[in-house]
Amino acid sequence: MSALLEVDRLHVRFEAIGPIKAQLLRVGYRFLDAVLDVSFAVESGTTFALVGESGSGKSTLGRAIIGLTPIHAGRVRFDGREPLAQGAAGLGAYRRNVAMMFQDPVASLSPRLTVKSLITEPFLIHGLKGKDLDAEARRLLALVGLPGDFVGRYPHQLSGGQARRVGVARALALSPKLIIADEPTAGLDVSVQGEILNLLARLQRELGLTYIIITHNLAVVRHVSDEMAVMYMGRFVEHGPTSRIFAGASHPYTHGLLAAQPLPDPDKRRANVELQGEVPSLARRPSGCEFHTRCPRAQPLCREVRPEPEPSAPNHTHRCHFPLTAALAHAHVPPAESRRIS
Amino acid sequence: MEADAVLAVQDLSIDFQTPNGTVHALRGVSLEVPRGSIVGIVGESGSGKSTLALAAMGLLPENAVVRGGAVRFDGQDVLTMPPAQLRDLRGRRLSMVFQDPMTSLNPVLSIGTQMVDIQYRDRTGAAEKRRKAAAILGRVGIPDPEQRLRRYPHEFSGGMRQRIAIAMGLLGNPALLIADEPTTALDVTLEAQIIHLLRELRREFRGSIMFISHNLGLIAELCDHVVILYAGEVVEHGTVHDIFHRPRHPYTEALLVCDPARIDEVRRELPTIPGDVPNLLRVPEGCVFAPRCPKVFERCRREPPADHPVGTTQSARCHLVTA
Repeated sequence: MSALLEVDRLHVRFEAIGPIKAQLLRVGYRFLDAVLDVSFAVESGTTFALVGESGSGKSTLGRAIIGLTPIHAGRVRFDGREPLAQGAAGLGAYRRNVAMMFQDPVASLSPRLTVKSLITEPFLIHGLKGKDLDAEARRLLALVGLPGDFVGRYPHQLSGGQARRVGVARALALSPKLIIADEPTAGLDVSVQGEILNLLARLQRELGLTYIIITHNLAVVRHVSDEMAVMYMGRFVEHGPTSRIFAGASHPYTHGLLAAQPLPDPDKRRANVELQGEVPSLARRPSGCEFHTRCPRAQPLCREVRPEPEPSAPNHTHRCHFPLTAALAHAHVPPAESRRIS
Repeated sequence: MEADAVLAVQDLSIDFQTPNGTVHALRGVSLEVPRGSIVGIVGESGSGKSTLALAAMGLLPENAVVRGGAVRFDGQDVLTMPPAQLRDLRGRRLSMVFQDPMTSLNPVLSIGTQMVDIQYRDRTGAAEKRRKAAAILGRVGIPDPEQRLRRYPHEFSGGMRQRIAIAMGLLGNPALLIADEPTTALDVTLEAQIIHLLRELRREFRGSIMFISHNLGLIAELCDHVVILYAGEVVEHGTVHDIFHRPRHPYTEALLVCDPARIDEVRRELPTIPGDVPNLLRVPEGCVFAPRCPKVFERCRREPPADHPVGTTQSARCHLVTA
């Protein structure tokens, strides 16, 4: 099976200050590198999860893949073609095949449009005339489990879960192959969260969809994704099969993220907080390994030399001079839960 | 226990007048926050947990009507207290940390100004108030607090802003701190830091905390007692061990089952609670959870269950508890 999407050494750069101001203020480097040297592939019909704290670049990466944010360097290959390098015509066709579900479902739906207009807008944008829009709207609503009479509703008349379903329906409108879902369950109650994730799973089974899910909810990632990547300051610090990473993370940052998830069991309270502090500003990128300022295992080498991706196992890579898997290789690898201090 | 509760909510019922009719937001809610303890209030959206917090602070909006009951803080009813007395209480004995640290701080005043302003009752000088503000900022983990007092809210990250909001809540050394979803806007790593901070502060300041959240992990991590709200009623309450290890109400059981963090074995199909929260314009007859309950039987649809005690620390509003 070949990959549906291949991302090769992708680099997204934003201009932080203009060239003249930079000269006046004597700022040497006037860019913010939001995504740096990211490479990965997503197989057709699978789910890839992007994980990281706010500001790690995961949403920017999603936007760059679909061409909403310009790419500074690197390549995005979809179905064997390079759509972002092909100009407007190529991009139009590409965006019929790749849909985006934006973060806040209520804010991403225009409050002045009815559900019917919202979910059939993609047909008009892509000039697909001659479709019976009413029938299409009802078909899409049925697909996401909403009653057909929702066509006349406005976003403010929808609950959080319903708005999320409308977002899914709109993403499905043009029968895409790939859906990039940015925080598909943020802000939802646990019971509704399950419904949305089950809907996405059912659609994947029925329509053979491929997903990239961007989230900070690791409990969700464990259940829904096949592969995952952990981002820190724009780089993939760990990348591999989800089950492997949850069984034993290589990178101390991944380990810290997993340990930061609160467990719903009062007997498993954590005595201390493993990851202290916050993500540094992209404008002041630390030297060497960017994580050394917060890493509990940092050594002098980490301040000086930037680690390159290295394999922990087949298909599993990390960027760390002192990965945890090396220490654990000979020991028994405990499951994620029992690594906590109760 | 009664005598030693900082906050005692007794049979509280609150309605909201809306253009569509009367919403019965809270019905017969009773709970206690024992002195020195952390009580978690769990509920999904629309369960009434924020209404409860606002009632405890005496901050209910204009369209709220108290149908009955009392909210006793240190023995005095907040709901019938004269405004001047309530004002004296709020921000000093009783304070609150809101959900979004972006909107709860004034964007056009430096945090130093804001932190001095809220000490308006104290007769100490401005320099002393600034010193006190800096000391408490340092305590909640803001590095270099004296310098930071001159900064404005936008110059801080979300996690730092929430620490500042907590510091402001603690300035008056309150007997009760109400935290309404204080970490929903934060990343897990910051969330863990804030929870750890709250736990340390409770020990240090010996106050009580009412912690409102829909995140079961955080509740288990932090709280001593847990109150489960559903559609405006307390359906179950107990110690944190009662609730997480021996839940008796089917809603509590369903909530625990739905949390993906509790599911050990990896699965694509996640459990859900079918159906929707009832419309509180028309509260269903019988048990409020009956329309969604997997264990529903005939009596549930007719007769609202009483709050049945389970042992000495727990109670559940369910017919099955006696049956």
